[in-house]
Amino acid sequence: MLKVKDLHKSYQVGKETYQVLKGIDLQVEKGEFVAVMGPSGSGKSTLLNCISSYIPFENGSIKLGGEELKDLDETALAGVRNEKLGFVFQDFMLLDGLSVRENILMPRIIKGTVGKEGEALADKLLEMFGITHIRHKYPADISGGERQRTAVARALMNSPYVILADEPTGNLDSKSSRAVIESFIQAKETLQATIFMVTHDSFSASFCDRVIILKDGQIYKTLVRKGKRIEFQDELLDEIKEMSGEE
Amino acid sequence: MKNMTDVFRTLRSYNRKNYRLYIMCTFLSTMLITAFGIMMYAHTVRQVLPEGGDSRKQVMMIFVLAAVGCLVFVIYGGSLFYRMKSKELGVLMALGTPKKTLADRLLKEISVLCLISGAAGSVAGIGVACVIWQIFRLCIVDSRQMQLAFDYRALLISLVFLAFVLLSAFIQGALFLKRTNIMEVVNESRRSEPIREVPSWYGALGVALVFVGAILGYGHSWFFIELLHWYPPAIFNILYLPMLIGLYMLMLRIVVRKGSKRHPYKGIIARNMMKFQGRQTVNNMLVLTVLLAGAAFGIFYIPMMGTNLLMSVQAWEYDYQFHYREDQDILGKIDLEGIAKEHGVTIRDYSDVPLINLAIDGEDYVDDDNNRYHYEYKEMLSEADFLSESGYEKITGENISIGKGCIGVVVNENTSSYNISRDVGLITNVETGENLSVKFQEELYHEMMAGRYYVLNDEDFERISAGLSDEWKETLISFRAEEDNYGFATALFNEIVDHTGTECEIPGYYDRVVKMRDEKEKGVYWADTEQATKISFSDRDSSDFRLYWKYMPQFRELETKDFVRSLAVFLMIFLFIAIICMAAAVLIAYTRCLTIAINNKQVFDDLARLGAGPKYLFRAVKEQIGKIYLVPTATGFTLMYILYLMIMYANDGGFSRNELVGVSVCLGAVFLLCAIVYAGYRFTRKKVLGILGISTKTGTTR
Repeated sequence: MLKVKDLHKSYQVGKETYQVLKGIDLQVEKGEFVAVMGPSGSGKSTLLNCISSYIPFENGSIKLGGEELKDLDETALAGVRNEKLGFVFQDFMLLDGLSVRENILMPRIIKGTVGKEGEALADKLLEMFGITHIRHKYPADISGGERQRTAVARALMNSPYVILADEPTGNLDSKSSRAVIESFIQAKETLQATIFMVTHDSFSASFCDRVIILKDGQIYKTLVRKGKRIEFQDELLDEIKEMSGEE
Repeated sequence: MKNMTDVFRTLRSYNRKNYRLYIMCTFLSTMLITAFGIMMYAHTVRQVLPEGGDSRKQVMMIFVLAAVGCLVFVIYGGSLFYRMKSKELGVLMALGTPKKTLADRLLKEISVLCLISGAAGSVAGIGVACVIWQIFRLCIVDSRQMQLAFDYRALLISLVFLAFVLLSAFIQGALFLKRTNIMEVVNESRRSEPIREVPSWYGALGVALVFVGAILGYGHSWFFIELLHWYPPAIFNILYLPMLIGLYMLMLRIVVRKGSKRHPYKGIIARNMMKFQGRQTVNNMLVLTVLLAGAAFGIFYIPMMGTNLLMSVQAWEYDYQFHYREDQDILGKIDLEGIAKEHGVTIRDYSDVPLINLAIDGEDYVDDDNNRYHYEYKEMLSEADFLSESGYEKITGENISIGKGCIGVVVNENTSSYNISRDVGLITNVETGENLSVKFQEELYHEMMAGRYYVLNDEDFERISAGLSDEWKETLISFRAEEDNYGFATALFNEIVDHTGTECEIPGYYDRVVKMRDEKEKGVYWADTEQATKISFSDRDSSDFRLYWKYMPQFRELETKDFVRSLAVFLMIFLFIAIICMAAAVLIAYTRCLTIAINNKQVFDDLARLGAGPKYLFRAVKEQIGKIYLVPTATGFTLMYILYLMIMYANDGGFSRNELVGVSVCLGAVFLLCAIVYAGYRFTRKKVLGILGISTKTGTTR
């Protein structure tokens, strides 16, 4: 579903060039829930922004459903973002002037295919994530957890190949975080959604099938969940502790 | 909601405050520029400030500065608009809206906003110009000359300005959407504009550059004209540029200045907040400085002109003095006494003395090609008025002794060589061709006749005036009046005008000697063309007539009481400039302060959470807003004051008594302007405190 090969990305700050991603290789299969973890500056968000095509990259390849993103022009990339990718941001990125239901409908409105079927899907997602009662409210009037569940519902509107989530629980309390992660799991189980999430939170990551740990722009280790969530979380914490100890 | 049109409409409605702010910026700027343009191109103003004249150039310069200031204000409004829209646009891009769709809609939206607010601003500008003009006519003076007549060029200015506004909005929009990094677009609204630390010598260098710019800008024309005999083209005004660079450096230094060593944490919030809004703040403060300097320029003109005139009038030796050509049928002494009697006025110390108009020699400016010129000696350079020694004694009661072949020059302390030449060596009777070699003997002090007359030895006077027709002879009447009143002065003025023939409907600079030479050499005399100021007896109350008529009587009562009428157009133009510049400055400062408040609301909320009391928060607001108002005010007014002093000094290498009184009155005007700025500051502070929810009265924060 998502294939990243030898991805390189650098930033220019003044005269200095900082190599942020140094040849990332990874693959995410359909229906998989994958997390990327790592310390600050390890390149997690940059990796996500490259896959999102929010920022350009120099070398390497990103294939989504077999389609190479690097070769696409602006308009085609916009199409990919609209139809093949779903986004969930740390600070929700909902349009404050639109109601919850209208925000969820946005990908369809951009695509120009709202129709009855689109509206029915929006209502279904509202119900699935338990936010029907706030459908006419505005982002400023609802809680952080509700905002993030709205964002997850919006991300699913066009049945994307992959949902890209950037620290989706970063601004939430533990209760809301759990609710958001549960909505991802629900989306994965009900709609066979593929989720690629960047997080620094081992609790959230422990719900994933697989966790990729980045360090200094490279993949440090990939851990696969085999047993219970709580055991996986302990394993993640040990691994992070070990990585920090190495430094 | 079915499509993007619905989405944009809904978002527009939700963000109406942002739209309102942008509309307000465009509306106000266009309004101010239109009003200024209408005033600039009003028939009256164009007549009073002739093309190419110094006053016209100065007004034009202030206009250009005001236009640039307003444009910077609109660009600032545009950048705020895009920043506020950035999250919205970034989210739409992130969700897959093609840039082209966004660009089309955004540019369409911006065009509609600009055109509607610009058109409304233009209409309002016409209204503002009319209202100010009418207030002037109602409250100060209402003469035929003061009628407002529109010129299409004023609206062209408005259109050109609007085109610039639209273009800048398009460029800003295109640059905004051109970014490839969507995350940058999304995060634009959170971006701060920190400015790097600048060394402490920036401030001193800034001040030095300001002075260098002022000296180069103002002095370059003197250098080129006087020393190189070359008129520099307008592009050389770029020499003023170091002034702007210096100002920018000074502002930069003030904005990033660290706290004092003794109290490093005093004002830390305001200082750092300002530093992180750096670029826009410095740009805004620079524009404010220029506009406030423009306002001071407008205001200073009035006391400088007024005090000079009023003080001269106070020093006059006679209440009445006028001269007329001998070929004119002007009232005799008996008629004059009759009018005086009608108005209960008693005439005393009456004197009438003969004057003759002769040609004098001198060096003439001759324009060459390529803006160059050279001096050329002319035996008959221009026309000048001569009194006899006994005539002068009769008027003044003094005993003087002018030697044979010598001349005396009547002056006062304000008279410079520009007014009357001391280098006359040859005088000629224009009609007989008889001439007489003369040399300068002495200066004769007389306030009322200063700068107008030469005095000849009686014998020379008799000899050179032999054969002159009445056209070249005049009579100079002087008298004092007991129980003097305005009615008599007006009646006498009207009688004189009514008794003067149309051949005397000419301005003071009309020179028959130059006319003869020009008609012979060029076929036409410039003062006879359409370009010259037209003097009309039917416009006897106009500024043009009162200031420029060649035979304008000097009546103390008329000059004092009709002071405002005589200078009405000047008063209006320069007050207008001051009003427009002040209004623009206060509006820009107000908008900037409000933006700072809105952008930093979180900081104040956090400070309150950290335990900062209302007094501390109030002080932080005061320091922040105070700086935005105080620095440009102090800099702009001081600079303009110094520039005025420089101009005064450069005119004749010193300060006359009248000039000193004038600049003292200007200082008073500075206090008045400061009071207006302070009122603006207080209003803004109240508004900002309201936005931030800081109440000093109740001692609480919301």
